Amino acid sequence: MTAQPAVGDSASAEEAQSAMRWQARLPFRRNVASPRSVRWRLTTLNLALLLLVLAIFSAGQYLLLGRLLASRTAASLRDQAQPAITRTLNGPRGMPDFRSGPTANQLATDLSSADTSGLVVDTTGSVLGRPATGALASTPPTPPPDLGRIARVAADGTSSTYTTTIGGVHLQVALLLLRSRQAGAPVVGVAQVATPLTAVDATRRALLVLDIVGSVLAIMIAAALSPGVAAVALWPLRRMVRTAERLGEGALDQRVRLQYGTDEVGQLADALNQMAARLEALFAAQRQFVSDASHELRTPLTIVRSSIELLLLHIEEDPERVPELLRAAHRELARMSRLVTDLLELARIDAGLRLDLRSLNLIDVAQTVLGDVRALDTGHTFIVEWTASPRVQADGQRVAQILRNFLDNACKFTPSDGAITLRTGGTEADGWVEVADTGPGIAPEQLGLIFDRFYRVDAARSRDRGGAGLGLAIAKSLAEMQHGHLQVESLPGVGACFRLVLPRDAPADHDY
Amino acid sequence: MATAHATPIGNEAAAPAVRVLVVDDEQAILDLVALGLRYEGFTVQTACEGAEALRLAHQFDPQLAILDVMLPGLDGFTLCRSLRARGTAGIIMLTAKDAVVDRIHGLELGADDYLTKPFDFRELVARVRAVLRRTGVQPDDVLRFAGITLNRGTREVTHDGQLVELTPREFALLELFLSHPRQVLTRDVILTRVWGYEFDGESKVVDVYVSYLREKLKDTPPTLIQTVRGIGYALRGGSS
Repeated sequence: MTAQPAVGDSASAEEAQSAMRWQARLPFRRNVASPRSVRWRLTTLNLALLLLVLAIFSAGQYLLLGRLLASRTAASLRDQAQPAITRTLNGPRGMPDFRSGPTANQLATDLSSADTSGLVVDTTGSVLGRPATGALASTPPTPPPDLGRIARVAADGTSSTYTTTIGGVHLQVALLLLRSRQAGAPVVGVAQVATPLTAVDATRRALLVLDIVGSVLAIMIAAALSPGVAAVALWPLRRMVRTAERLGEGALDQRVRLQYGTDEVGQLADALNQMAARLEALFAAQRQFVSDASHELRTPLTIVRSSIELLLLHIEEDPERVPELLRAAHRELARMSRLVTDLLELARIDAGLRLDLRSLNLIDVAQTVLGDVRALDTGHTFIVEWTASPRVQADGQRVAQILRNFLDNACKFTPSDGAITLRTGGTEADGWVEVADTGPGIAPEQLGLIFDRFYRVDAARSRDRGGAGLGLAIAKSLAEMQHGHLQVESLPGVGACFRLVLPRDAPADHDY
Repeated sequence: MATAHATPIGNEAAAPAVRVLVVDDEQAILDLVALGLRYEGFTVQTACEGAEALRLAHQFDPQLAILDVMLPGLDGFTLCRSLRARGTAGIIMLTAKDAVVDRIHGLELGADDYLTKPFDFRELVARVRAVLRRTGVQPDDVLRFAGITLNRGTREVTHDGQLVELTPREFALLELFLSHPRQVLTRDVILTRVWGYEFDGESKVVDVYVSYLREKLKDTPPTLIQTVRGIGYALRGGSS
């Protein structure tokens, strides 16, 4: 199909080229004339199928009818000949002796007419009787006796029919037995009757011609109408192409509106609509994020700007203010840096972070993070409850990041003499680590919101300490990327407990 | 940042200082705006949320309030209505929302003016003064010293009863001197305040304009705007 884009600097150029090539192959860019057009393909396939069906049908019809006509001819031949034979066999003097000429000749004459030619032979095939010469003139040609067939007929005791051609005339021949009605009576001779099949042949030929002409006509009409029919059937696809084009131009509210049922076209319409909805949601989320982010930056920017403005305007008359103003500006710059770092982190997560998943002992990670936090926080009391030592499949650096966020929040919200507890535990399927604080807790209606980006439980307090409401959102994204999740429980006035749950690395009984 | 005094800093304005209430949930912004306004000669009180603001308003009776739109608890717009109801003459809203629809909303709800963050501090001060003029709190908005009167609203300057024609720069320079009577102002300060801190040129331009001003005020030999050797200039009245 399309060539793989080359790796490296030329990747984008290659991609552009292969994109163009792919575009060129789209069926609706050209008209029916294109050999690869869907309509052309549908049309030719259908016509071929039609041709095949018509051919089979015609052939079958031709053969079947031919056989039918032939057997009817044979039957009527027999019916025509039988009375004369019966009459002869059951004459007043009983079974005639066919060896003498007159009886056989008479029979042969009786059997002949304008459209039949008769002949009487014995079981060996030698001629016993011929029709009178006068009658012979107007009869169809008489085929010479077929010795093999005659012998068979005589031996089998049943009549037979066959076709042959004499002097250019196609004939149906019947071989009828001559014997007395009594059971076990010997076959004394065979009567051969022949009738031309010209009429039958003509009928068959006419039928064939009709079939051929009809088929050709049918195919021509079908060929003429097929592209139109295909176009009608494929018209929904045209609409979808237009919708997709408009989507591509940025109008993300476009949808394919008609109902196409549950067939492939309907499925395509649904898939397209779903994709458009997702794109619209993603772009809206992105816009919202950018808007939120820039909003968050406005406050620190205002502070920095005003601080420096005041410095510039009044530095001479009020030099004692200088350190204060500079500190304010510096603090806000630090806050902005943290915010930007968090935003970049979120952007990286959104774009798909590369994780280093491996088998981890949660206690190890928790202890390391706790050690770091304890070193800087001398006020709070930290309690540790390692009841289980779960091994999980996770990225150590990210787990540490999440735990650090939990601990930072706990330290922020717990009074300086309060206690913060760390626990680990696990179930069959996963292992967890949690941080419980004795702060003010979180109201039930806020529990669902705290993991949202930029959401702050207590706006005034957190912003002072530099939080922008992104910590838990980042933690949530990181947890989910490692196939885990976060849980929170809280009792307002008592405290809050944040838990990180991750999938187990090894079965429960292998904890060590 | 400690808010030691509510009163103006540095200058000795003749008229009683205008009372301004500033409300914002961000303490750092409160401190900075209050400081800046005090430099400009206002008396400032601050509050970081709506209920506290209303309480303060009852005691302090501000003539102008600067409110942030997004406040915890009582929102900015409601606070605006309440302050208006109790008689605060001028209200300026500060916001991070800069969409036109938000500005219109703010103005419709009774704000006299609307400023988005981050703002230029000088613009804030200018709008404060404009609102004060419009609402009649400081209709005159006049600076007086040593026979010179300068009306910020009408841009009229008189000296000993005579009208003086000044260019905008000269006006700004005189306004600066009148705002800081008897104080020595260095060239740097004058340059920053009148020409702006983006100004890249030579500080000599200050000397040139001071000489223009002296000429227009018929201040030769200079007794009004005096040269303080090695430091800068000062507006002093008559005697040296």
